[in-house]
Amino acid sequence: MKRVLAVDDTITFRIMLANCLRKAGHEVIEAENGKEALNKLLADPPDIVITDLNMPVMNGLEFIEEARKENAGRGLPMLLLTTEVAEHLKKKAREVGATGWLTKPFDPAQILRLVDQLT
Amino acid sequence: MDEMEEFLTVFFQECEERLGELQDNLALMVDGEWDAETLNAAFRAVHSVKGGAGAFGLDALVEFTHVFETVMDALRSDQLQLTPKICQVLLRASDMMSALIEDAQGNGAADKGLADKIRAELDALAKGEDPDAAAANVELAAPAAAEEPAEPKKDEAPAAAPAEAAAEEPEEDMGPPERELEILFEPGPDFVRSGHDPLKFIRALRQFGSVKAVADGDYPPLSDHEPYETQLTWRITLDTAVDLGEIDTFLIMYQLAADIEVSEPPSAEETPATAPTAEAKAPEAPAEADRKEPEAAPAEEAPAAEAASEPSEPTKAKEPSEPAPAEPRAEEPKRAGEGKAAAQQPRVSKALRVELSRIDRLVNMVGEIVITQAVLSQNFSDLDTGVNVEIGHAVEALSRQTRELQESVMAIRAQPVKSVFSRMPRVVRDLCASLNKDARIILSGEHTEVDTTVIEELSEPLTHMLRNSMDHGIETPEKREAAGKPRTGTINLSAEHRGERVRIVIEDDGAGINRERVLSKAVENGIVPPDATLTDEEIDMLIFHPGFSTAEKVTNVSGRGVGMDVVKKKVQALGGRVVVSSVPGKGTKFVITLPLTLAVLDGMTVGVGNERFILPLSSVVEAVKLDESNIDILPGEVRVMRYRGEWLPMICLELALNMETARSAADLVVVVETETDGRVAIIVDELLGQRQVVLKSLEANFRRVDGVSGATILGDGRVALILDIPSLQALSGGGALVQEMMI
Repeated sequence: MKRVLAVDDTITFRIMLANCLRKAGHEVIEAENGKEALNKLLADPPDIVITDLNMPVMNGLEFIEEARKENAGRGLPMLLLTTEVAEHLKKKAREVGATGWLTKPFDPAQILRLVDQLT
Repeated sequence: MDEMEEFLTVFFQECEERLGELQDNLALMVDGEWDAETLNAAFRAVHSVKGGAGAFGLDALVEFTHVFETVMDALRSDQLQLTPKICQVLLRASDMMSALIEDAQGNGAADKGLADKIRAELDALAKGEDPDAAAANVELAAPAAAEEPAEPKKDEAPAAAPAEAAAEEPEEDMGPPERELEILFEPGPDFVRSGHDPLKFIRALRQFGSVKAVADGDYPPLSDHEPYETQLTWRITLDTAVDLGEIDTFLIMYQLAADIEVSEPPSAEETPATAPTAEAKAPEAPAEADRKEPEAAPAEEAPAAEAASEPSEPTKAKEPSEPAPAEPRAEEPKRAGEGKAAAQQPRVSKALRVELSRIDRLVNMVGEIVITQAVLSQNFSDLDTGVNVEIGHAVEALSRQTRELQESVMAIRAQPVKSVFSRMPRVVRDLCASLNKDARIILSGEHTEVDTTVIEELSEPLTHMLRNSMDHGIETPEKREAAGKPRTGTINLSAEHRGERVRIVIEDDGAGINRERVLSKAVENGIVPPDATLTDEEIDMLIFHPGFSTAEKVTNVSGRGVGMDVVKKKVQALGGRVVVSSVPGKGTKFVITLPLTLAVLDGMTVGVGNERFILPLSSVVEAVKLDESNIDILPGEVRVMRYRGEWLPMICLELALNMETARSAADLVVVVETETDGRVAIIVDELLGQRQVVLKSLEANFRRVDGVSGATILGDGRVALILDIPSLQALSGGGALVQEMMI
């Protein structure tokens, strides 16, 4: 059982993601933007983070960048799950320390495999 | 100290280690995950204890280990086949050996009758298979072996292994030949920082086939080590039948942070013999590696563990057929000069044995220096600025250096939790037998390092919790089957660093906490009122309540109602916390977080009158302004305060500790958590900030004082007492009474 922080402003997406993870027995903490996610991450560090990129208040890249400055976020697997494919964003993702880049729509089996693999 | 006595001390220390190795290897045998080297290592452990015992004339130990060794020798030379029954005898024998070693140290007496009985069993084993050969072994094998493993040279140990390895290999063919892929794996500088772990990558590759990883590059000395930097690259040989496309898909995840090149080697001829043997060994290698891999400091230890455990397998497999290829050789320098047996290689590093008391002295002295330094800094900052810039710089530098010194000294005391963890599989096995259940335990992160004193204190709560999981969590095989779960239950025990703390998780896949029963029991015992509405989490936490037990009948395993609250007390006494979470039908998870050391405490300094006190930061909940209208006085002069819907008993330090001091303000209270999960409010005048304090025992230097757990010296040279909340609560009285009246 892993503790997964799922961040997405689209409720449907968040629920789909959370359901897929919960069914596999993982514990899911949800957040709807980077800011909320950062607070939850600091309050009780998860084992892995899966976050959307485009979100209000604080986007996924900013969230990862901020989280990496914290003890709880150092070395933590943080995956971006987004519809974006632009190279400059991927480059930015690498710079802020994202663990990996996944494109929506997601394949539940792949997500579960990655959770096992990276934590 | 007498010279002989000194040697004895060293010998007993070594016995400890050898016993540990023996138990590790026996555990592998019991789990059926052994190979020739396992038997060799177990043999060597017994043998070297015997050798030492002989030198000191510890006859009882010599006699016993001699027979033990004979059986081990018969096993490793294939004259005796390992069966579960034999495993049981060996386990008992290792316990007896441990008892005899204790005995030799003059602690506790071993049961002579039992020793004789086990010896007879071993004797029978040694002779049972083939009395003549066994008898001959007693005479011949032991002395012959004495030369080799007693002073194991690294060249000899692998040389002994191939003979046995070759014997057991032939028929384990894994079907069609697969191709070998060469993967060049170069993690970028930020690989670990961005949430990856080379070790996890290599492990994940195993889903495609058997993996052999060789690290390249120079690893800096530990002192220059940057945990978040990856200086190594790996050459990985993957035996796989999976096509490249699939592997590429897998690699995408890692390509943000690493350069990975996959190629098929030009000719299969260049790396013969490796493929089949590596395959044959594959089922064992991961199991072994999993057990030994560090979790907490992956970047630091990964190359050593992976490199050391992997090459040991090609070495023994390949040598009979051809000279060892270049790869394992490349690893040789790392272990050259270790002079240790092959089985130990995964965890040996150059080490110096030092008695704990010497280190304690060092820790104490450093503690004093830290204090002196703090005094110096404080006084300097009180001086007029610009007195002397040079001195200012020096004071700055000194403060940095003392902090480093303190950290380095603390690091000496750090020990991997392995010493405690490795005892746990045995606990589970024993419980399986006595409870008629079937469960296995999976350890991870045993290399996580924690202060020695914490480790010593950890064993008891961990055992308690495992018992609880086995007794209440894991169901009987029949029930598990009915619930659609595998008959064998699984308990995961893991440790990892989280910032300045260590996090230990015990997780089972049992029935979970039966909340209905817990709640009804709690109501029955008067712990909660009948009409209380509690959240699931609150109900789960009830199991830590003193005197709480749901066991329908008292078993000798748990259920005397002393289990879990003892765990909580113990963990809190170590400055830690324990939390439980549970999913009905799925399992229960206990998370313990502990400070890395007991010598330093994170504290909050508070002022009461002219005095300074330290509250352990881990128990502080909140500080709030005192509002007279929220205070009520109960009979018996007990003052209580309304706080977020509850009533808290208030502790007045000058009353509780009989201080003669005039309060200045007394308008602040600090809310702290007590061991019994209640909260109390302590009245203080001012909050002076958080700081790490070096603990000084009052008991050792003065005498035990109620309400106080120790003392420390502040930057200005004043002594501050460290408050012990539970005993304070008892001192101020009425705490329990108040809680009763609240309900």
